Amino acid sequence: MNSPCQEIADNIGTLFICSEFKYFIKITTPFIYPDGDVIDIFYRRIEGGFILTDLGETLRWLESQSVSGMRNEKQKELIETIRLTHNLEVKRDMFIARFNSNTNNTKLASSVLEIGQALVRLSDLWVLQIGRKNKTIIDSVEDFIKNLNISYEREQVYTGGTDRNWRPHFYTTVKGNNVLTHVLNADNKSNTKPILCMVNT
Amino acid sequence: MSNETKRITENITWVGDKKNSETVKFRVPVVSDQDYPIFVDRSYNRYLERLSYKVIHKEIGRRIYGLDMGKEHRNPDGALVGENHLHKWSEEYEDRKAYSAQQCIFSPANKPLEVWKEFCAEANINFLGAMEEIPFVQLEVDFDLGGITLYE
Repeated sequence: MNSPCQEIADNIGTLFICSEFKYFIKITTPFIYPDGDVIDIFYRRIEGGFILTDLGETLRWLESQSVSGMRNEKQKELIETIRLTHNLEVKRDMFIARFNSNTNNTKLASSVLEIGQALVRLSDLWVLQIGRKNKTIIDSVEDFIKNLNISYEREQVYTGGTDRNWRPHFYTTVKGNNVLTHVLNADNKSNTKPILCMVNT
Repeated sequence: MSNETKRITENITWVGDKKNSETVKFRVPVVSDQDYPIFVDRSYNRYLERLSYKVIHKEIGRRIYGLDMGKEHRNPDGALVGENHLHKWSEEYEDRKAYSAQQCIFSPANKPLEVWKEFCAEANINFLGAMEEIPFVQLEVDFDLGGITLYE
């Protein structure tokens, strides 16, 4: 029986499928974008060496994920960091890795893996899209309450004994006991005291 | 997506969002009797002839329905569903699970108007506008890919 390493060595190459596409060889990889779409890398010989590129697909994918349809400043900054880390060029929105003709076959294989990793990292920047709704701490508390099968209302307005209106995060009922819950979180330290005062009043 | 009052009344104009990009795109709002906060994003890579239509929900900032053409998709269970596939939103997988589009999309990706009509029919969107042709790639005079030629 082969060792796991031997099995990986014997089979990992079959995960990359090559086919011709216009002036390129298309390498279909086992890497995927965050939505499951498969990442293709394109190889082409040029004078003095060869290149690997995504032919613009990663930025097309990234930009079409957002409400704005554009990259934001944070994404641009991180794209540049990833580009430098993996020594990529960007032209016409294509990420390109360039190699000279002295590059051996091992280098080609490792380069395909490296640009694949870079494209996965780049596509993961979609989580920074402005307009994307992120889960809040209150959402997480709601999940927790739901999992315990506790009946609850979330962020409803209730009128107190002094006729003042309150909006606790949760109103839960367990075995006839009613509990009002306010999740104590603040976006910065200076806001903690007013929130505590308001909840304790 | 089953609501049949969804409609697009605007004409569609392609936008090359940047000079010297292979990608052209458009965005157009979808109106409905229920005022769903949705719009359609479409992008097309002219060199690869890859096309995507995405119905995006503005409030959650996510695709809730979409068509991809020209690239393979792998579902969370590892199954490949084909180069032309539809993404449908679900609680469990969000937009990560896709289905083959061969039962509803018959035109190739480089026939955008025909595909658009088929997509609208499948998504129950009544398209009342007009769509212009995709603009040709316009390279700058000093355009250089560093020895890489895409169009010969």
